Parts: sequence; C-alpha cells; structure tokens
Amino acid sequence: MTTITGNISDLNVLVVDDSFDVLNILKNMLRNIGVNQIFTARDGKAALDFLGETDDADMVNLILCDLVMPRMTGVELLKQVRSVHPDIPFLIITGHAEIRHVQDAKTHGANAFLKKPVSMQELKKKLLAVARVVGHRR
Amino acid sequence: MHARTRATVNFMKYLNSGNVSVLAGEDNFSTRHVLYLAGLTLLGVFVLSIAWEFLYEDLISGNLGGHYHPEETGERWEYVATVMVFTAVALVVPVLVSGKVIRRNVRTEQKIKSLASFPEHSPNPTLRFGSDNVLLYANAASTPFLDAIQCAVGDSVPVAWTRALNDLPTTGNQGRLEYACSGRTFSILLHPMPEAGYVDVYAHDITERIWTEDALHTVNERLEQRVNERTSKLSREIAEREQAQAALRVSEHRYRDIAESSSDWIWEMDEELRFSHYSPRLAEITGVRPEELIGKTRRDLGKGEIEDEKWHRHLMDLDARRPFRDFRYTYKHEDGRTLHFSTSGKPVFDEDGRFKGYRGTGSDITERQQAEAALSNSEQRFRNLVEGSIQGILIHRDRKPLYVNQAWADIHGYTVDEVMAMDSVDGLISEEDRARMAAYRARRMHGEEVPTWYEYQAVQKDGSLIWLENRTSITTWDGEPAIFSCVVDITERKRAEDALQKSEARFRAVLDNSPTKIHIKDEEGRYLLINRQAEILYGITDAEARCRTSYDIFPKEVADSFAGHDQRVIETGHTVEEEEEWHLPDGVRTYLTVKFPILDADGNVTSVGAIGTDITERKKADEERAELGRQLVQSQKMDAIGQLTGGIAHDFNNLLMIIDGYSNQAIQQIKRNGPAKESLAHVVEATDKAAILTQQLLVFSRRQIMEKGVVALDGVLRETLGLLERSVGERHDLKLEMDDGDICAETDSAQLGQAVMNLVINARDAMPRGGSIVVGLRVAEVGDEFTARHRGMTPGRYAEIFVKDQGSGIDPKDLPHIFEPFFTTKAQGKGTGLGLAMVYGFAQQSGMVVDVSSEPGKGSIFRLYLPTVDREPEVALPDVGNLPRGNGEVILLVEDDLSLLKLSSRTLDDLGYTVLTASDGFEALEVDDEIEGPIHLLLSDVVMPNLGGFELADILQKARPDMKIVFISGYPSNDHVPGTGIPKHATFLQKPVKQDVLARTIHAVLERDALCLAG
Repeated sequence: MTTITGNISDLNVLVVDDSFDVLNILKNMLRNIGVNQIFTARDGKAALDFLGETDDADMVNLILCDLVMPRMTGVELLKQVRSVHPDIPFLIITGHAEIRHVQDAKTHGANAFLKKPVSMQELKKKLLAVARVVGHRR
Repeated sequence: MHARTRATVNFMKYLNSGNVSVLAGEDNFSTRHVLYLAGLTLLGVFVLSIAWEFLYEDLISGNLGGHYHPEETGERWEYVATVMVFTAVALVVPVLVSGKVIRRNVRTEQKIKSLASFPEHSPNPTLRFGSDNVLLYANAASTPFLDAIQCAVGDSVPVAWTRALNDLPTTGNQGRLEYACSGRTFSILLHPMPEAGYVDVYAHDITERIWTEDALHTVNERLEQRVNERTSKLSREIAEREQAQAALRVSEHRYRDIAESSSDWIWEMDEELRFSHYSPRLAEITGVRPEELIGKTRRDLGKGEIEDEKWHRHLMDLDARRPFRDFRYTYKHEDGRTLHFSTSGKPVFDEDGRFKGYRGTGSDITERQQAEAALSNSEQRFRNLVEGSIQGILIHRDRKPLYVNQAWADIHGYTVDEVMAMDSVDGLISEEDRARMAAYRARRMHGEEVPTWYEYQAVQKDGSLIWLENRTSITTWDGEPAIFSCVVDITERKRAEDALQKSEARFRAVLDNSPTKIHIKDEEGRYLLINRQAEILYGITDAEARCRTSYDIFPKEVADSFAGHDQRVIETGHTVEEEEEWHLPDGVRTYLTVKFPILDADGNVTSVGAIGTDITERKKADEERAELGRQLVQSQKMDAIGQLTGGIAHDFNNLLMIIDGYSNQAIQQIKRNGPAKESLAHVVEATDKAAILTQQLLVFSRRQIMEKGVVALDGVLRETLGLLERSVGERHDLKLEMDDGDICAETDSAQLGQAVMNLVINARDAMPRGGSIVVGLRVAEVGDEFTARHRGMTPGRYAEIFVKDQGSGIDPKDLPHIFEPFFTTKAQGKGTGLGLAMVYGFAQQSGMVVDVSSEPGKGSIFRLYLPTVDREPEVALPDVGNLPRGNGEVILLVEDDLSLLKLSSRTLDDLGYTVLTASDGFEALEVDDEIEGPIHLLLSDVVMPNLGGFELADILQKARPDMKIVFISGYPSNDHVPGTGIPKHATFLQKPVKQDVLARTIHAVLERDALCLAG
C-alpha cells in the first residue's frame, strides 16, 4: 500500500455483540489494529441508546455488529441506525449467516460482512477501507 | 129419367121391328096446295118476263134484225130458243103439279068423310093420319099433345113415327109405342084402318105412370140388388162359416194335438170352480191321474208353499170370476221334487152371460223358475259386484248416462243421482283428453279400430283432476247399443309411477354420473344394466349389453375371471372385492370392483351388482404419497440435520472465534518462543480447520450466502474441470460431454462448481483403480414420472448436469443416507462426509434437484437438474479474438451486480488485463489497500450503496492520481449523471455495456494516456 488517505486511529468503533467474550476479543483486536475509540454494547437497544445520547456526530464513525442477537437482531439495529445515520459504515459479523438475514442486511445498507471466526487481517482490511471513506468524507 | 130413356129405347125398338103401324092422315089441302100452285105460276111468269125483257131490248136496239151478223144472229136465236124452253117449262110444270095436288085433295076429302066415327070428345088425345102420313084430324084433347110434338093437322107425321106408320098397312096390326117429348111421355096406340086408308092414333099421357113405373123399377132394382147382396153375403157367410167350421175342425185337431203334445196342460173348471178337465200332460208331469183331481177345487188342492197374499189374491180372482195370469204355485212330487207350476185362466160365460166356469192352461215352470232363480241370483251377484265394485262403471249412450254405479260417482265426487241427471258426462273429462276421446268415438262410429283401453284425466266435482284408466266396450241397454265404460282411479298409481319414473331418472342420473362403473347381472350372468362409465369401459351401450354375458363382450379369460367373481358372490352371498386391470388404448387402468349380492324377499340372491372404481390415480397417488412421505421424511431428516448442523456451526464459530482470539492474544502475550507458543499456534491452526468444516456445514444447512446469477453452465463446467484435472489423477479419465448451444441457469456458479467438484472427487474415490469419469451437460425434458419422485419439482425443461462413474456403486441400503453430513463409506480419514451434504444443501438452496442412479458394481450417476432460463447469461465469455488486448495493466473492477462483475472480470482477464474485483466501494478500498503496485484503471459502477463510484474514485485518486477512470452508468453520459463530484477525465460507458465496447474503451483510455505520456 503506497498511500492510505484514511487513518484507522481516526475510527471510533461501536462493537455490538451479545457475547462478552466476542466483545472482549474484538475490542482487543481493534485495539491491536490501532483503533483508539472503542465502544461496546451487548445488544441493539444499548447501541441505539448510546448513539442517541451523544450529540457528537463523529463520536462513532463505524459500527461493528453481530447479526444474531437476542431482542434485536443486527439487521433491526441497522435499520434504526440508517434512519438516523444514513452514511455511517456498518459491518456485520456473523457466525452462520442466515441467508435471509444477510440479504436483508444488504438491502438495508450493510457495508461489509465478516465471518466468524474473524481474523485480525480480515478485520484490519475492512477497517482500513472504512477509515479511508471516513477520512474522505470528513 | 132412366125410365124415360128406357121407354124411348123400347119405342125405337118397336119402330124398328116393324110391328108398329102408323096412321098417315090427310094434310090441310086447300091452303097449302093453292099457295104452291100460285108460287109455281109466278115463277113461270117471272122467267118468261125476264126472257121477254131480254129479247125485247135486242129487238128494239135492232140487234135482232137490222144489224145482223151471221155469228151474232145464230147466237141470239139460240138464246131465244132457250128462253122459250124455260117459258114452256114454267108454264107446264105448275099445271102438272096442280093436277097432282088436285088428285090428292080429292082423296083427302074422302078421308074426311070417314071421320064420322072419330071420338071427338075423348079425354085422351086422338089423332087420325092419312095413308100419306099426314095428320088428318085431331080431337080437342090433342092440342097439348100436338103442341108437345109440334105438329098440326095437315102436317106430316113426326119422323119417329114414319116407319111405324109405313109398316102398319102391311101388317094390319095395332101398334103401340111410347113417345116422349117436352118432358112428357105418351103411350101411342096406332090403330090402322087399312080399308079406310088412315090410321087412328090414340095417345095417352103416361108420364106419371112412367115415373111411377120408373120409381117402382128403381125400388125393384134396389131391392133386387139388396137381395143379391144379401144373398151374396149369406153365401159368403155360409162359405166362411163352412171354412171356419173346417178351420175350426182343423184347429180343434191342431189344438188337440198341441194340447196333447204340449209341455203345458189344459184345464177347465165348472161353475162350481171344480176342476172338470185336465189334459193328459198334467198326469205326465205330476204322475197324478186327472180323475184324482177332477171335482176338486183349488182350495181342495191346498195352498202349498204359496205366499198367503198371492194365495188369497188368487182365490179372490176366482171368486170374482176374474181372469188371472201366471199364478204360480208349487207341487210336491211324490218323488220328493218340488215342482213349480204356473197357471193362467179366464172365466167362461155362455151366450146369456151365465158363468160356466174357468178354462185355462198350466205349465211346469220348474226349470224356468230354477233358471230364473239362477239368473236372479246371477243378476244379484253381478249387481252386487257392480254396485260393490271399486271400479267405476258407467253405461252411456252418446255420453248420456244410462247407468252409473256408486264407485263411478264417488270417483268423480258426485252422487249417483247427480250423474244420472247429467245430459252428458263429457264435462267430467279434462279438456286435454276430451278431443282425443271424441276422436275415438268418431272413429269407432266409422268402424275403425280404436283403443278400448286408455288413460285419461277426469275432472272431479271440485275441479281437481284425477287420472283414470278406462276400458270401453259396446253393450246393449234396453235393446239399444250403448257404451260400457269401466274406470279405475289410477291417480295414486300415476303419482307413484311418476315418482318411480323420477326416482328411476334420478337413479339413472346418479348411475350415469357416477365416476364409477356400475353394472347388475342376473344369476345367469346376463347384464341387466350398465351405467355410462361401464358403457365407455366395456365399449358397449346399455341396450346392447342387456341379456348379454361377459363372454359376449370380453375375451374368454377376462370373462372367466368376472364370472368367477360373480359366482363367488352368488354362492357365498357376501360382497367380494377385486382389483381389475383394464388394458385400454391409453394405458392400463386399475379398477377396484366391489361385487355384492342383490337379494329377493326370501333372501335369495337374484342378481349381482358391481361397482368398480378407477383407482389408477389413487394407486398412483398412494405410491406417490408414499414416495413423497419417504421424501418428506428424508427431507425433514435432512432439514433437521441442517438445522442441527447450522446451529452447531453458529455456536461453533463463536467458540472458534473465542478460541482463536484468545489463542492469538496468548501468542502475542508470550514473548518467547517455546512449546506453549507452538501449542497455541496448533490451536490456532486447528481453529482454522474447524472453521472450514463449519463453513461446509453451513453450506449443507443452506445457510451459505448465495450469489445467484444467470450463468452459462458449460463455462462453469469447463472451469471446474480445468481445476480438477490435476486433482483427479492420471488413472482417471475425466471427460466432458455437452450438447451444443448455450444452456443457461440461474445459480451461484461458484457453489455449482464446488458441487460438481465434490461429485467428481467422489467418483474418483469410487474408482480407486481408476476409470472413466464423465461429466455431462444436456437439456432434459422432465416428465411426471420423474417429478413424482422429487418433491417440489415440476415437469418441464431442465439443464441436466451429470457425473457418471464406473465405480463400485452405492449399496442400496446406503442410498437414503448418502446426503447426510458426515455419512461416508470412505476409509477413516479419507473423507469428511460433507461432500454430498454440501451438494445436497446447495441443490436445495438453489432450487436444484439431485438424482442418483446407482447399481452396485456398475457405477453411479449423479444428476443435477437446474431450471433453464431463456435470458442471456450474465456471465458469458465473449469472443475476444479480434478485440484490442491489454498488456497486463491492472484494472480495479467494481460492480455490485455479481454476475456482471464476473462477466466483465473474465472478459478483461481474457483480454490480457490483470483484474482486481470488488463488489462495492468498501471492498474496492480493501483491494486497493492490498495492492502494492499500481492500479492503472478503475472500472466502476456509478451507483452503489453507501459508497458510490464517484466517491470511490475520488478516494482512490487521492492515493493514485494517475489511475484512469471509466464509469459504467445507467445514464447516457456524465452530463446526465445526477449528483456532484464527478471526477475529471472520467470516461462513461452506458449500460448495458457490450464486452467488445468495454474492451475497446478500456484499451483506448489506457492507450490515450500512453500516447499523452509519450507525447
């Protein structure tokens, strides 16, 4: 890579997963990749609450979300987020990729999919792409 | 008058006979004869004077002498001579006549002299005629007579008397005649006096006498006539009496014969009412000699069994001397028989009216009585029959009722009297039938044969219609022809018939509309009826089938089978079920036929019914249902396994992620290399393998993400086989057999390739010693039979991909399990047991059908059926032979339409470019990050979610300012592209982009920059 216009450190990532361990691992991964601002939520409702409480538009510029969660699925969360933040990058992480959910997520504007188990390289690659877009738009 | 005529006739006869003498008396001579002479003289003088006058004129005129001409002189002298002759005659004739007259007068004077004795004073007319028949004299009493005969003295005798007078002188006899004139009749006595020369005539008026004589004559005639008539009558009476007496004698003989030979007997009673005579016949009948009865009265003989009233009436008749007729009584014969006698009698009176007794006849009416009794009984019986009959009986003439029984009246709702009072019973016939029945009568009158039995509708008194059955015949009533009509109320029967007809129609309709074949046979196996379905199936109509057996319709072996079933029903009396196979032109049909007995009231089997249901479809459906059930079970099993594996995979992935994550963290935290760090590295490695396994499990559980598009299947197969050539090995011959032409289907080409790959690997493993593996592609028309085996598949056109090997085949017991995950017949460690599971999962997910044919020892064929599509393949390889080619330039291709992405990627690859692909902007950035070297050209769609082509290009150009940009847009040019931030120097291609255009454009854009750089 010769020039990267986006900077991963500029990413403020909200990680949403019902698994504490997954949240923990992803948080470590993100930190290792270079993400400084990492927020976590155990479900969609908590994520929305978090997003609704902040007035700073750049408080979160990337959402990393599990697809299958209790009470609110990743797709449902995606719909809610898109109604308020149409441009915020939204990455789906899924363990078994229920087809209808994946297609549904695509339809509602999911930017990328990550398959569990997520590798650090794969995650970093995705984050770099997002960081460039975020940097470009800023 | 009559007498007068007769008197005249007698007079004329008398005259003619010459017996009558007529007295011819002298006429009045002095007067008439002097006048006569004077007349003659005057005539002579007259003639002479004319002659003289004539001559004198000639002499005076000189014609007589002076002027003499010889001719004239001669003539005149002739004339003078003539005149002279006339004159002489005129003078001589009177002289001669006068002499005659004088002589007569002399004689007349003599006669007159003889009249001295003439009875002058006779009270009767007395006339005297001379010999010349001239009346010479008449006395005073003659005047009325002469007036009557219009004659006077001197006149000639009347012509009627002339002959008698002329005859008298010769006969000298007196003559008498009667003479009638002027209404009077006279008796004329001619008394000739020859010596005196005259005839005296004495007339006597006998008119009164004649009248009296005529009257007497008339009376006499009448008397004679009456006498004659009486005589004739008496004669006739005598003759008649004689005839009567003769006839009487004959009659007496006859009646005696009759009486003696008659079956009746004759009896007589005297004035004491004692029997005085019996003809022998009675004795013959009763065996009682007449002597035993003679002298007895009726009372003496006894009353017998006669009713009192009749007995007393009879005795009163006898006592009153009244005639009686047909008095019936009984007689007890000594042989015990009761004889019935009838007797009639009349009183006999003598000429003085005195009662002389009775005379009569008796007859044995025992047989008649018995016959009458029998007849009476018969009549009574028939009357009872008629009166008590429930059939209505009407006897009519010209529709006027002559007799009607109670039933007939009741049927019509009338009383008998009301019917009998009708002038015509036509009004009791419905209008619809009246004309028809009138026509019958008219035709019958013309001698035509008409139905004597028919039905018609009658009108009851209350106007309601009823149906009657009528039988008509000609009978006699009071000696005249009449119509006998016997009717039965069949309204209920008609209703029942109608109901039955409707019921039969319903029954028939039900039969004929039944989808089952139905027939009924009698005990002899003859068809009694077949319904429409049976008609179609048997190829024979119901009418044709009647009275035929199965042997008349079907081949013997079939008929034998049917007859056997029928016989079982008849023998056992139970229902029999049989499956019959009918080999029909359109295939074999299976009928489940239920044959059942039809019993009579005694429970005997009279016929056999059969209802056959076409169970072909049902059987097929049952089989299909069983197959479907099997498929369903299999499917549900696979689904259950899928869900299980899917769920496991999900959780397993999470676990793997945790294991992998913490392991990596631990590795990072261990600064030094050592066994612990290596162990963790193994853990991470095993985690990666486990992730691959879970990925395959996800495919089986159909939770893999599909990227479907219309693909050309031959390309997919070629590509797949290209990858497989190395892994299959040299011992195996891998062949590709494909039909000509593009066969396209909508599927995920990568997964399809993976499925084919798995099948080929399995085929290879099934032939460890090598062999031929054929991968094929063709279009197959799939029919019902095939689709029935595969749930959810419909008949139609499919792309068939098959993989055929010549291996060991699959054990049938293994077949149901081959698609289950982790089921494998391979040696331990040789297979994961997920290959066919992936194929199955992919097929299920993409709408494909997997079919397996395997025969142990001969190999297996796996077939994948994909619905074909007519659309152009979105991923099709163009012919790039003539297109401008690249030279390894790197092109980043960004397209969210995956099929198009693949197509374009392949095209550019074939054109010699290095192609980097991304399905959206983010992925493009990821690729950009990964690529160390240059990206010469960005080929991107404009409109993409989240990160559009312009923004992507802008981001990329910041790091790669030399990168050329070609946009593929749905808009005709950049002028029309909505939005802002359009990168400079971008080239636009309008969708749909033909691959050659794409190739030339990219080549041109790259070449242009090269030229620019060169320039």
